Amino acid sequence: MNTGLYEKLFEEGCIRQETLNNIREKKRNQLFSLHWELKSLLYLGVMLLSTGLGILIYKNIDTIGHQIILAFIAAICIGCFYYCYRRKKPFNKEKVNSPDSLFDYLLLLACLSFLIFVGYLQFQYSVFGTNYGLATFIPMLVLFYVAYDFDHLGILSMAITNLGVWLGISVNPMTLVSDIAESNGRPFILTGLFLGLFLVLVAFLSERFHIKKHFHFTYLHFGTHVTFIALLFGYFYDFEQEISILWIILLLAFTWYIYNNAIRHKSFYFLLLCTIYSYIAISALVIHFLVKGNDLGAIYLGFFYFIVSAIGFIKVLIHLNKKVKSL
Amino acid sequence: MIIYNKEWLNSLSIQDEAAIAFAQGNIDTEEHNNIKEKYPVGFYSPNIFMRAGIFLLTLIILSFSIGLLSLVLSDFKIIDSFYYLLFLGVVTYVALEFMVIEKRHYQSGADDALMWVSGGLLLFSFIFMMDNIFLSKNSGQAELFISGFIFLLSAYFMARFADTLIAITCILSLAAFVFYGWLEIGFYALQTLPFLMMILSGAIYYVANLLQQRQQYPFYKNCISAVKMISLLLLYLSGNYFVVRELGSNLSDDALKEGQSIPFAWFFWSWTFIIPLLYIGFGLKKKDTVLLRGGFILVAIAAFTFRNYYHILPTELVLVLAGIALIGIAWFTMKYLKSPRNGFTAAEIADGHILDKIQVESLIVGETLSSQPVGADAHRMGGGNFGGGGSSGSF
Repeated sequence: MNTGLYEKLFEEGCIRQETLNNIREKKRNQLFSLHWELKSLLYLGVMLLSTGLGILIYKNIDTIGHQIILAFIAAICIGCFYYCYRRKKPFNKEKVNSPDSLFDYLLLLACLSFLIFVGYLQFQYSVFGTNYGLATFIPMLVLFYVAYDFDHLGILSMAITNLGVWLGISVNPMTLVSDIAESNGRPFILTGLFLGLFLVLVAFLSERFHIKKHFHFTYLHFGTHVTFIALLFGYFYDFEQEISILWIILLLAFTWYIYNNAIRHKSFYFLLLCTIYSYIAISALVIHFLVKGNDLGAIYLGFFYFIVSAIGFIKVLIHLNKKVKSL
Repeated sequence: MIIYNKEWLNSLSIQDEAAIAFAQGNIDTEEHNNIKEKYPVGFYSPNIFMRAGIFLLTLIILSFSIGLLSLVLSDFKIIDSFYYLLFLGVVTYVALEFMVIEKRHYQSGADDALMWVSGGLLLFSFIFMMDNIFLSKNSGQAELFISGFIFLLSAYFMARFADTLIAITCILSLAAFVFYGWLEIGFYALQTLPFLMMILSGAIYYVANLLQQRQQYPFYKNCISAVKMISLLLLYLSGNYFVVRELGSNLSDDALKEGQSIPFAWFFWSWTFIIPLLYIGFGLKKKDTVLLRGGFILVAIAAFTFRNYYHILPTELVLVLAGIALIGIAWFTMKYLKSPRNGFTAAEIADGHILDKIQVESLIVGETLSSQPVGADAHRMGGGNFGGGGSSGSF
């Protein structure tokens, strides 16, 4: 950052005199922001503390000391909630900016210690009995409530993850892939498909009815990944049958929806997701047909396919990029 | 030497500056447009998502093209020799120059992929060739030659393409070259090695810092700050107790026993703890982000080093106490800096970065923190058993 550049720009007539003066003034009293450093410290602190408490209670579960630890966790949870509750602004359907990042991270700590607490209660006293669904359902409800009332995106992600846990699947793309690959069940795939489409629907509704419109991205992010992965694995699962083509058709229809959505929001991220997942789907289909040929010619064709198709998809990406930029 | 159009590079840095000024509200839309018109950039450099996509697709193209060519040539003997890899590397490099000069790609993903693939192919052809030559002889010097070759190759690529990752590779390979070279010829090599590495990385930092302050080589300014960062890290690691002790004991013939100390232990221990604090101190004094953030990370490394040799408290208590301490420090600093003091502020200064748009922070929180309850709850659903939950962090 140097004012020399701005002086040159001023001489060339790109900026006005007052702007130059303003910038000179700003440079003289330039502030050095510790914002991200402090935020990272808070994040690390919350992560270490909640992990530590989790292990602490697990190791001391049979000793007398564990009740003190439990009281400590409850105190942290209540204290943090109380602090955040006092500072929070009233609920609004639009975005409510949080007072500061301290608020954000203490709320996070409150929720994490709440989860540890509930988990402990369930393990030690079986509060929810053998009704394991309820044991995940109630924390999930609390998380969703906190996410909406306090307007916290991080807790919304946690709530969505917990929704997945309640249904028995992971919403993290990487874990989901390995989970599905290990299980060999159609129910798993269908649950994933249902959850993914549900999340996409919620994303659509929050935007349509202006209920926390800025949650749209988080819902759509998880929904898109889960739906695409479920559809792809649906195809791999029914690989042998002719009917499997239906999965691909569904996937392309879903791509079309996400594509239009991304264009509307000018989101490069979702465009990239569309491209990657549809590329995998189309390639799987092509390989399927080539494998039927089963000779050297098919292998050559396969190589050609990948070279040509990758070039094609690069052209598509470049084209989309231009299109979104010109919007 | 640099391959890119220098006028455009200059315009690009002015445009970047203007984008930040615009995001901070220092200039208005009209002025921003004036600047964009006055300093046009002809590069093709799409945003980070497109870059990632194009990078992956280019890798696919390259690997299948090479595969197809090898398949066609599989009947000939040529692909068994290093000439074949050399040929592929040169062809990829020519493609890279073509993309950059003719198609004006600049950090587009395609040039990144071509750069790393051609570098990798050239390196493998060199290793292949070395294997042929050294087959009968003692191959103890292989590392020395390989790191030397990587250094020369990456120095050339850095000068030509000014890529930051290449610059980091270059410095690391130089350090490796000096390291192995000193082991071969040095006087009391093992004992003097840490000090030599300290001098080397200190010297690299000094030069890079000088270049940055004098604003020389403006097209390489990103490379220079990457070099600064990596040399600071090297400077610390060459005196870190853990690195010195374990590396030394690996390299020498008689391994150290557990609890056995090394000569000058007091010096390396003080280095381990004082350097991070010095970094933070200088970072705050000079308002240098690289020093400051580097210092924070090194404090964590110092803590791990200490814990590796002395277990005073059980891990979970350390986690809890460290967590409370970190939250406390951040809390007090935030309160203290509520209104800016001494030129510091806790408030965010906008820089108009594209990643903010996808709310990375919330996703990081979601992915890292919520995995603990997930692991535990999923486990409970499986059978209500409490067996191996300890590894998941929470219970």
